[in-house]
Amino acid sequence: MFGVKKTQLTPYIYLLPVISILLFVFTLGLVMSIFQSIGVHGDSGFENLTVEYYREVFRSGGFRSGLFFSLRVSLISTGIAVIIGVGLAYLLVMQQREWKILQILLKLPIIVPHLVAAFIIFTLFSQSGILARIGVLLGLMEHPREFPGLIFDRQGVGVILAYVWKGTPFIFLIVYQVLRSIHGEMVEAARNLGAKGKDLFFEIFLPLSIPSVFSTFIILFAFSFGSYEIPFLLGPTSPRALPVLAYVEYIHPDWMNRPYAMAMNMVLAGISVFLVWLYHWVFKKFRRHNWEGRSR
Amino acid sequence: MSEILFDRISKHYDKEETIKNLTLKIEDGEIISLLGPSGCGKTTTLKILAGLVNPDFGTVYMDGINVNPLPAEKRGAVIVFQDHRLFPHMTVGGNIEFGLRMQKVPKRTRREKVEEMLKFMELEEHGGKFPDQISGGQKQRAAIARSLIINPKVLLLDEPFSNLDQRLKEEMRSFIVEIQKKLKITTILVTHDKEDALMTSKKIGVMFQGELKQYGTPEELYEEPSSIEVAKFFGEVNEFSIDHEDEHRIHTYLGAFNKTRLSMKRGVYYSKLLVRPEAVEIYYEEHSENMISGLVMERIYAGEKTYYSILCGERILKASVVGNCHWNEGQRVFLKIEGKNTMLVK
Amino acid sequence: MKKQTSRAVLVVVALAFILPLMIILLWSVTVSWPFPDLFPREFGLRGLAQIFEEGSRALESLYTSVKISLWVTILTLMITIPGGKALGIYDFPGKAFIKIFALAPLIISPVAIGMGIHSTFIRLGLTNTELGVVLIHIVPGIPYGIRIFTNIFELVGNQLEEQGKVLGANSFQVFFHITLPTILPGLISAGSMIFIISFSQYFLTFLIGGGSVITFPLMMVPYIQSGDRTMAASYSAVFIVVTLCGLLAIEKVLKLYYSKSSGIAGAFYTRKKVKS
Repeated sequence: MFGVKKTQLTPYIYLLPVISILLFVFTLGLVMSIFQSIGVHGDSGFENLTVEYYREVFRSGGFRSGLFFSLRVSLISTGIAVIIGVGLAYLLVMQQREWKILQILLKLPIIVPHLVAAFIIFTLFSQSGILARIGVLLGLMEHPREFPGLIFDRQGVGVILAYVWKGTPFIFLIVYQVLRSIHGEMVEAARNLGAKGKDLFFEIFLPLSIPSVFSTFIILFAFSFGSYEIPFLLGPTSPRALPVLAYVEYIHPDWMNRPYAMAMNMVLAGISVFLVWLYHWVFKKFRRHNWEGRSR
Repeated sequence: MSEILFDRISKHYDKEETIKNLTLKIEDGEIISLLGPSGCGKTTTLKILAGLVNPDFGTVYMDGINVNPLPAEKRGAVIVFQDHRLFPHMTVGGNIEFGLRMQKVPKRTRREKVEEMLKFMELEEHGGKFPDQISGGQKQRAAIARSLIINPKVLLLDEPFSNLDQRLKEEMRSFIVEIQKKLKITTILVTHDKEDALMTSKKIGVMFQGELKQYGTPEELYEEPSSIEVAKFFGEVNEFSIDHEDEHRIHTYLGAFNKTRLSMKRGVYYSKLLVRPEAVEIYYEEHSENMISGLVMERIYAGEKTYYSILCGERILKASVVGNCHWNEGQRVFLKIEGKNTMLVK
Repeated sequence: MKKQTSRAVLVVVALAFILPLMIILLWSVTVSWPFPDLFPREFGLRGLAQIFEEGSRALESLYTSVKISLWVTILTLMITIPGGKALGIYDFPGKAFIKIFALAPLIISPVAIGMGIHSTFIRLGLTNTELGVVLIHIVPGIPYGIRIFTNIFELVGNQLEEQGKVLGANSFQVFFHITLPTILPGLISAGSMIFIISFSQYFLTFLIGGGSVITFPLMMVPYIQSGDRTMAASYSAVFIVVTLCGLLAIEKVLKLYYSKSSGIAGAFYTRKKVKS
């Protein structure tokens, strides 16, 4: 009609519904958050543009300790989940059998919601939980209060445990698929060219699976960094995880506090986006390095 | 460079291909093909030689030494896989270098050898590229280079031409023959395409369902196949049941044939006589005895040859003649088949 | 020896992840399980009975939850199948950007998005409504749908669809008889994932639903907070069982659809195969 071929329009038409929803809910939500965090309001428009909210947020001790808490908890829990998940996947790949039943059982934690995960950690690790009872049985302790307070504690142990329980199977399943595909063909080819044991792991498995390990790491990290439920149920009142802190500011009776909540949200989102960028940057470097180092 | 002996090898899988009692000897420096339909056990044979698969029964000897206990990395039998399996995270140069690094060859020597190999394989410009940045033919050459650089005792090629188009295929065939001549490396090529085998190899083994049916030169396979299956694998045949034989002749319902072939062995009972279409001669008149009269049913002109279907009695006989011929459909003709151009199978 | 060690490690670690679930199931049928005891003292169905009581709020919320999640699953599949097809088959300007854009909800916190869109939803009257909740639940499912369908369309391409068209099928026939059946495995895994994400959503539901749309997770939280383990465990147990049923239903329905779409001959073939 306008000199545009029908086939060139087709993909855009296909994408229209999903993009519309993303624009209307996701992008609009993001833009509104940004606007509110820099002082743009419905009535006054762009008149009072300011970074004051960010400055003030960073000045507050509650925010700084909350940010630190969130970062630490997410990094540690994701790190542990990756180590256990990758380890399990590697062990399973090395077995002769596929162990379908093990794979199915390990899928269960993925379908269990985070709320239930929080409750599970609570029943296991609270001061009157299953572990404490085992402690009594073994004669290590008598009273619930002798058991270390792992839930609601300032270190966020309970939160970390819950994320590890939810995250590990996720990592395991994805990495297992990747490792298995490597295992068949690439490992055969490498053994055929004289590689064995340690070489196989460091030359083939590790470099080939690292991209997917990293990307699942980032997805998991971003999720635990930005989600509300688990720190809300298992976290300490101080420091508060960033999403919880943002929500507390958000529902503050004085709605003038909302821009602070939005500023926190933006810091939250900004850090996750930065991580994704870092991931891409690292992999570009990695590839470049390989090129120069290995060929000429 | 090495002499290979498969001694009564058997391998059985649950569902996949099996190998039944395979015995095969390959001379030092020879290039041979294993030919057969997919799933006939060819690839498994290669993997057994390479040490990637252990046989259930039987022994593999290289230069007279039993290599069954040796792990893959110590065999010196390198497979170039059908899907080339270049490591995607290494450059072409890195891939070629891989085997040397595994052997802990010093870096300088490695670099020299890789450069040399890149040149030898006409890949100089592509050493720094990743496998997904080069063409199919280049990938194939890179995979061969990666195998050759570690001086394997045997080079195993698994369907090396199957992913290439016709022109590249022909190029690669002569390329492989050329390297093999230069390096005198014992080479086993696995393929499902008879042309690949005929055009590259001095000897061919035909495999069906895990069994080596016949092993011999292209001439032997074509002219003296051991079974109808083998004969059919190399081209169309007309088959006739043998009624009876006397001292000098074999009788079929289409007539008698003189026993002139050397392929007839004493004490073997032959049940079928096979005739290739090009062995059927077509004439206007019955000018000698033992000619068969027939009616041309179909004529297909295909450039270098013309193909005929001729009705003789109740049977259709296939014949082919070089060049363009003028017998037309519906025409009565007389066919002559020389006894020496026939094949006998059990 | 070494093999046995690694097998033992596998089993132990896997058990460490599965056993806690069993403990929860045990709690759900427990009436009394005082402190130092390692096993329940008294079993009973107090928790489950309370949930399944006639006309209980719990059952009502369960119904709401399932309804919302099924809608979210259907709608998200409807928008991500064509989206994934566009990204998997076509090349067009802006493709790389859209790919990243569609995966962004994985990275950017739903807390930020939810609070940002809240005021707009209030203005549009979408808060406190199931429609609003469905809309916000669609967002976190999009990356999974897009990712799975993009991969699958990259694999299957559109040759089969073209063949279908050549054989005289119109666009709708092609979609229902060829496209859907070929992407069935992706449909099942994407559908399951989207269902799970929506079904277990807490924060977005209570922010946008504003206390008027009560889903199952919302009913559950007070019990977890108050430490009523029997009730919390009962909710958890029901939750897990319903999720499993939901996933099974999604798979069954899609497979049934598949056998129907393969026509009379196909149905005959499947039936025969089942019998033998």
